[in-house]
Amino acid sequence: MMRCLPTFALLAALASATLAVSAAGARKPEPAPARVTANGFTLTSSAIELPVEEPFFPDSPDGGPKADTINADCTACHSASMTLTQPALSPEAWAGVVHKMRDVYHAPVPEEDVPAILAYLAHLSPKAAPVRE
Amino acid sequence: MNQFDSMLATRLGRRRLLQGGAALGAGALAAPAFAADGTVDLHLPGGPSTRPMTTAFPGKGPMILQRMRPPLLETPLSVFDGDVFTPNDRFFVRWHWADIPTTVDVNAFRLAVRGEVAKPLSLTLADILRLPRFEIAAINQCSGNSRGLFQPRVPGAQWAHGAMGNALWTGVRLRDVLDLAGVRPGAVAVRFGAMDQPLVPEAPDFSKSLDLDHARDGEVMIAFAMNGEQLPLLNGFPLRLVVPGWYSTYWVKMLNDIEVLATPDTGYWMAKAYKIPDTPGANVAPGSSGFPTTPINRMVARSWITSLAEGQRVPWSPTIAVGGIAMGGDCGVARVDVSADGGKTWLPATLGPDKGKYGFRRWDARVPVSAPGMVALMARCTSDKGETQPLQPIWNPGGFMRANVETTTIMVTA
Ligand code: HEC
Repeated sequence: MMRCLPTFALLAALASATLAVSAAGARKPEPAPARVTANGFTLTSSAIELPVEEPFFPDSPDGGPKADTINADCTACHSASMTLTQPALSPEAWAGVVHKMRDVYHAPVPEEDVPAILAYLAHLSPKAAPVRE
Repeated sequence: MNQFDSMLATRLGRRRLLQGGAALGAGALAAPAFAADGTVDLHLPGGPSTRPMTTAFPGKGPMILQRMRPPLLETPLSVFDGDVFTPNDRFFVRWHWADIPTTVDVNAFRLAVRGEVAKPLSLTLADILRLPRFEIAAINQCSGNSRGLFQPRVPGAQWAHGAMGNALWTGVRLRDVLDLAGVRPGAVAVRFGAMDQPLVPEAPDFSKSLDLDHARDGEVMIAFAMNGEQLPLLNGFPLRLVVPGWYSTYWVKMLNDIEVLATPDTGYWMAKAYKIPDTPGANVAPGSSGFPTTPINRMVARSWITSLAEGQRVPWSPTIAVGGIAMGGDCGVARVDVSADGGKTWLPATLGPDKGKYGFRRWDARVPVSAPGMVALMARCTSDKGETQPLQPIWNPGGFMRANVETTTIMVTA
């Protein structure tokens, strides 16, 4: 049961993201996009709508660690799938990842939240072989 | 969200994703790239190995969804069985920071050229279009392509082989743009910045640099088109750097800032990230540390079987057709050999037309198969520089530069 968490949670996190896309359907006609042409090549202004997602980590099954802390701290800069697609990592490697997020990428993760995040991550990686960060 | 909600989300999400599967049509029949439920198995050792297919991204056909935000979209291997040029709508997508402009006005856009130059410039797109044209076929491959196959596994984007693509790039030589501004004597490097931004202001903005001589080699270019069309926004519209033969980390997308430097770049993305062991083949023993490092640079020879998928069932005949693509790295492909016995014996493949030394080269062969059963197929490229792909995988903590001979195991049925 625990073994299926990563794949299951990952698919859920990735797939939920596509739900919001269809909203873009009906829209008023807009003026033709601007163009720049020279030497026989034309560039046309581009506008796209990126799919919007509900970022989330699911609670661990079997009464394992809850996801509220990791959801609060680890979904601002990237989807949960960045974390959920990772292979089984050792506790030290996960600590390295969280350290890197705070130190290098300036993730606003309060020190007191780190244990709850690491507990959740350890649950994602049962019996992980030691892997260096 | 509880378990039930997330399960529901998965189901609903998959329905959308399924349509993507159906849209692939005949291409999917040749090599079944993904399952009927709209997921794909990337065969990553130890997992998690399954990813959804998605068609949710504007300008993109069915892609393997690695990460929604910022997007990491992988090209299914079966796409490479088509033309050696990867279609724009199937070309992989990779961003570091989620603040990606989703609107680009061609009239408002400016490319700055500044720093150690006689005359700082602010170029319009019309200015760029009026410069002498340059065109080159080149593979854009992520430094971490195939990272998910490293053993022991390492953290990072867990790509299979599809974080790469080959295109015919059209644009202008970087040298011509630098000469317009007039590089000052004593300059050593050129740094490239882009329109995307970190979500946290104090975090390191993405920028990369090249030595001045490399930047002025007449091949490094600023592209405004790939495969004859303007760049898809997700591939860097309106301008991206093209560094033939070098990994994609240097191919800065949405390029809007060129800064000529008097001293080497000490920024995070050059000095700390994308570093490889300064050892032969970027290889170190798993778990080692304290080795010297260097910024990742030129690509090396690789090859893939694309006509048959992992686990595909093939009816027995005395010889079986197998085909795929190869690359020399920063030079052309000299030869490709194939094996149907796990690497014990090798046969030469026939190379397809040469469409540029920095691009993919098609190869095809027929291999003897004595009896039905599991058959381990391999392809091995030798580059024009005489580099031959090793059988043994390398290891490094960043999961960079995998380039060993890959194995595709098929089931030959009676
Ligand atoms: C301030 C922004 C930010 C926050 C908040 C953040 N990350 Fe990251 N994270 C990044 C960036 C940037 C990368 C590199 C992205 C890339 O390469 O595409 C990254 C990459 C990763 C990776 C891939 C491994 C690697 O080293 O590149 C993992 C796993 C990860 N983050 C997990 C987390 C976890 C767990 C948290 C919460 C503790 C978190 N992140 C919070 C910015 C952030």
